[in-house]
Amino acid sequence: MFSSLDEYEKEYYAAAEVKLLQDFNHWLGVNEEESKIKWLAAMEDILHKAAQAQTKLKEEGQCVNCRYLQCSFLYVSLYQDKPVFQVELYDEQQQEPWLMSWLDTSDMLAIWKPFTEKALAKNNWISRYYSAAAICSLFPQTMEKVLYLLSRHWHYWAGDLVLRGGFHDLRLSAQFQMMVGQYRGWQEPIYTINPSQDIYLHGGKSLIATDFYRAVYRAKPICHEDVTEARFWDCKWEAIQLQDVNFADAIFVKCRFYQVDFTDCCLAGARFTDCKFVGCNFQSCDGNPESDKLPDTKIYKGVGWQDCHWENCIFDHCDLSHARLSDDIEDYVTLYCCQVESSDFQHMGQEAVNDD
Amino acid sequence: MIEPWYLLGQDKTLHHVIQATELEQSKYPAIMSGKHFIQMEDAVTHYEMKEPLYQPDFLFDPTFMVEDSMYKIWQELQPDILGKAVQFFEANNRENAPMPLYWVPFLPSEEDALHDQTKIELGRAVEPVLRREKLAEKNFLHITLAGGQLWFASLTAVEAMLWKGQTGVQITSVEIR
Repeated sequence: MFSSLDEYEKEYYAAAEVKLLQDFNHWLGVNEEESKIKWLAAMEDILHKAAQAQTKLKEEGQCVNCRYLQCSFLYVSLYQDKPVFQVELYDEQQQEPWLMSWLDTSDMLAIWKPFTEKALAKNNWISRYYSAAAICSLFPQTMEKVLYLLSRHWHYWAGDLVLRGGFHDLRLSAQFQMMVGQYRGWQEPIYTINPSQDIYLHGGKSLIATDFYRAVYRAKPICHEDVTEARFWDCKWEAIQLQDVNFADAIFVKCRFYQVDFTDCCLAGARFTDCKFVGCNFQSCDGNPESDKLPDTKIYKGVGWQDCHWENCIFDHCDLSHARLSDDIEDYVTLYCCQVESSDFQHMGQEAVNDD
Repeated sequence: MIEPWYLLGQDKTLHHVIQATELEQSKYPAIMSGKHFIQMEDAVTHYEMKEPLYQPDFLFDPTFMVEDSMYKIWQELQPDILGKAVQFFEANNRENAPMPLYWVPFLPSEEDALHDQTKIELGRAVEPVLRREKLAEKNFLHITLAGGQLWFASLTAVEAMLWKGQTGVQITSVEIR
């Protein structure tokens, strides 16, 4: 029987919180398509309004860029049973947002409400020690964790937003960040644009979250580079070695890979859309989102290939756990000793040894 | 751009709240005027230990008080807030008894921040409505009326308080015109 908040937290609440986070993550996974479609529609609407606002301000002689897009969860809205995110767009120069809108997230109550009701149940309390207000004081720390989990899903949904051209009409700064977090508190970036760099001549400058348009990479190897969250649009890779390159959360759209060797590359969260792979070898690549090599502080998805064309490709000793594949590749791709747990490669037969 | 604002009311669902035994109503009135605040000094008071004992972030008896860590947040958000300290000690000097520090906060009353359309009954604002132009560049507002005093907080302030896991106040939206 609980007679103090400390005891209640250790004996009951901590475990309930872990279960909530698992349920929330599972709910986001199971309902992902529905939740994502709703989120994308709402964000596209906000971005469309923002583009219109930019045009109108320009006509009035005021030129505003978009440097930051903050999605801030209003805890007071949860307190009032109507959880929303306040979306604010900022220019480089201004302290005040030039556009404000709201994202309804009342569907999260489907998981949150049962959790709080159970947390506030008087069972197991010695009645005189029970205080609903004291129990409620534990909720913000839990909501912070929920928010972080949500930000990781939104990070991938933001990738969809980019692929759908959601930012196309908006005038963004050369450096732009879309963030999720607390109102006037911590913010976790979910989509970043950094200034363009040349992958061979960047001189140590970061390649993270950079866009590469119509680049051609031929013959000269690319080794030990970190291109996390980078976006490659219409790029060509020919007869090239990619060794120990970190492609985590990178996006490839309409890229062509001819005779490319991917060796020891990290592919967790990488997405290939409408790409072509001809004669490519993936050797000891790791696409497992639960890999020990990935930072503990982030949550990843498996590598994904959608609407891609394949010819004579090999995956040799790769970890493709949780990988997503929309294409029928059985006749065009050979797997050797790969891990394919919970992935769309599971149905494929594997060869024992790669003699090549 | 003016944020939404909120009224901070007493959370009456809280029980077994720490109670000062030596703060006189005459010096620590429910309605804290400038005159009373100037005459106050930092104080020490005692409380009776009870099981259970709750030390919420906000006390309303005998006057409005804010617990030390919450008060620091208030000061960061609005540095011109004044405060007088009230240190609590357990009446029988029990070992390991909590010794919480509270502050009586003060801002000069701004009755003119209440919109004309605020309904006043028996010296109390029934449904306060605030004037938009009086809310710029502040996070807290203090209004004393004949029948009671009101503390209002901006969205920024309320969010900071809620994320801290505040106890002791009920937060309700107020209309701004």
